[in-house]
Amino acid sequence: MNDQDLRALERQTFRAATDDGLWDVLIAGVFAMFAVAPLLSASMGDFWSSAVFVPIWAAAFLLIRTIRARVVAPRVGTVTFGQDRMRKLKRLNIVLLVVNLLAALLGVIAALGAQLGWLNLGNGSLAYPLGLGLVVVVGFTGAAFVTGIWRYYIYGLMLAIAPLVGEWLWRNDLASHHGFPVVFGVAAGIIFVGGVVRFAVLVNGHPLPPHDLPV
Amino acid sequence: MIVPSTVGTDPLSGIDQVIHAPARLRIVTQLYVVEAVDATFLVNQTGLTWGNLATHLRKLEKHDYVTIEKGYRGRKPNTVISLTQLGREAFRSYRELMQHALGDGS
Repeated sequence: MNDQDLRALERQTFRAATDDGLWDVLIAGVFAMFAVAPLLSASMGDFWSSAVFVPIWAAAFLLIRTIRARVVAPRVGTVTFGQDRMRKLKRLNIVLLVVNLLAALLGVIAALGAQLGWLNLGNGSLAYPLGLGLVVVVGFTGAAFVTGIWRYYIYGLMLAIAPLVGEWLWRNDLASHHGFPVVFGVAAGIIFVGGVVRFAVLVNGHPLPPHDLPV
Repeated sequence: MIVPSTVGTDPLSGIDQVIHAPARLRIVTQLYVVEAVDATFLVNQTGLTWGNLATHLRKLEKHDYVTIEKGYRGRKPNTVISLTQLGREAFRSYRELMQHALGDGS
């Protein structure tokens, strides 16, 4: 057993302890906003149509934590990881934070520029879908690389392509709101179903242990 | 008559028999790559029964290779197991010896 085998075992251990499908459900919830917010913006305005999701995400996050503590942990068990893994996760958090802040900053600059008249990307510009796709790819690739959960690569690719497909649908009069309700609705639905299936398989394969260790 | 010509030069003669048993090797290897695990996780990962796991952990604990801490998760009893420094060093020595004996770095 060489160092590579031990690293592979550590990665497998991390996946076994954390890949319960519940993150997928939360990710689906986040991207569902991209599908629903454009439909709400006419009645609620651009800000509130997105902001209304924040308490929903917070509630979903708390619910997932509770499910993880009451359903997953007693069946799968718990692990305290070493410093290397914790450093990797910290780095991933920093990358995700930087990517999100950068995306938010670019969004604010684009919005201000359009409002004040010094930036005109045009309503049908590919800059928005390409920018959004790039942010999504970077975020999901980082998450997939650190966690070793390969389906995050697929999610990243799917969500990166989604705005471009949406733009195409919108330009061909096949969908409203730049196609966001359709493409992000479908993508969020696929991720949600994937997460629920993963969770169901995990719970089914790990019955509650009958007792604690008789030591 | 078979002459034991390798007696004294057998690289496996000094092998740590506590770790060498397949089930215990599986437990120690699993514990080596993390800080600590609970018994449920160890049962799931090693595929051992609860009774088997308890027996092998007792042996490892007797040699100060693991620490076993009894506690609670909510209201339910929960046992957390971790490798001691001595256990980590023993596993490292075991790996080096095996790599030397097999001569392939595996």
